Amino acid sequence: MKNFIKTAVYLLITAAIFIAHYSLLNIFFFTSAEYHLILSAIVLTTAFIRKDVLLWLIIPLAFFMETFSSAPFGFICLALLLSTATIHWLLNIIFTNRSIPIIALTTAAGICIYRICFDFLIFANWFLRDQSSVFSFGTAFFDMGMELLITVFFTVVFYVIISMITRILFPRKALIFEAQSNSYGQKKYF
Amino acid sequence: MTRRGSIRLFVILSAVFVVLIFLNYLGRLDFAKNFVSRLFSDEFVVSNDIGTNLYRETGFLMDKKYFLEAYDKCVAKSQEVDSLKIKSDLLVEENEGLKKLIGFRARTKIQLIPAKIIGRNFDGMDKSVMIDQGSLVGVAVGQSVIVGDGILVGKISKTEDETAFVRLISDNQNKVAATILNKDRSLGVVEGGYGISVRMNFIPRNETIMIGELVITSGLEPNVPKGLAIGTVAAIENEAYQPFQQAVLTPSADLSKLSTIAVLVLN
Repeated sequence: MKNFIKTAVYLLITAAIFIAHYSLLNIFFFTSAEYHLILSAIVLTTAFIRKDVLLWLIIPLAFFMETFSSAPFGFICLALLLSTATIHWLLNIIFTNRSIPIIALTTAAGICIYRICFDFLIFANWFLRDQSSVFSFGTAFFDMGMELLITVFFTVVFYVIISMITRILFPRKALIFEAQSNSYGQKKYF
Repeated sequence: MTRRGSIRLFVILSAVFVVLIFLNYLGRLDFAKNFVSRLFSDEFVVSNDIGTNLYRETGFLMDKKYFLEAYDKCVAKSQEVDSLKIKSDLLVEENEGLKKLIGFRARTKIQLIPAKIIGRNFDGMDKSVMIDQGSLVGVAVGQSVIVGDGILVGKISKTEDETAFVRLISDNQNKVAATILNKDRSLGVVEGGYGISVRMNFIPRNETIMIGELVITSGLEPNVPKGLAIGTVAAIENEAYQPFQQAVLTPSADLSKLSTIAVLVLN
């Protein structure tokens, strides 16, 4: 029963993240600056909650995204899986401490992997199906750059805010977290 | 979790995604996709409306070219509106002037030739205006020119076939026989040449004039009917050594803002 409630709560949170992400896209559809809330949430979740079980949540997230995407089914799944794997690998295996540069770098890497993978699949799909397209590498790179900057900025901002809140509301947990984060004696920022 | 555990988890996740893709191509996920679409569509309709409204309000800021085009359109529209407003104001003014002239015509049965001012000459002492009606329609030298409901503004001083010149009452060469509407009905001659005001000379000294009294034409000269308003008494000069007293008048019409006038044709 406890696990069921936990799963339901996780699913609700996932749905809320997806709704927030898609609503942001809807509201700011006319700007080239796109904030990828889902990847930002994955980075923050991986940074603060070191439980691999949370990675299962990318399945409903990917499914929701696929449902509201015009791309062939599976492109987002693959892009999201690869970017999540990259984020997880960077944060838990390569950069084991937590600091603003690490969070920024990980988010940037996640966005790059996601966007390159997704755009490559789209381009390959057009190429293989011999469809005429208006695909422009310049536009794609510009959009990716804008998305990268915006997402990195807001992820770092959220990281700082959550760190401060954690430190104020749960000082013991923050201490344990900091001890874990700096187990390799690296410089800490928060 | 260990590195091996993580790899195992990602392998499982990949397998799940492969299964999902496979099920989708078999059409087994349609029910779930429809359910998710229905579940979230209301929220997305709201956010889409917000986005559309936001774009209407601020979207032009995102595109420089569009912004400049929109700005140019706004400026052009503003100029057009200004132009239309000016035309409208002029038409309203002209309409009011014509209505008054019609009222005057109905009241006095005097034939009128309506005309528009097409040129002004206020240089030096010569204060005259050019009108768009000339001798071809019956305009002749010496005829009275009025504005509104019978306010004298001047006399015709020169005519061409299709144009004519009106010497205003403030011109120093203009002289009009006038009467003050006081108890003595004092007679005199209204002369220009004193800036924007005019003077009434040759008023007998023994007659009482009050400031604010109305001055009208006396009808003692040809082509100028009796009863046209000229102005009001603004000041009185009654010197002991002078045989006549003088009155400074404020013209009833603003002579610098004339647009539609009428020439009186007396039989």
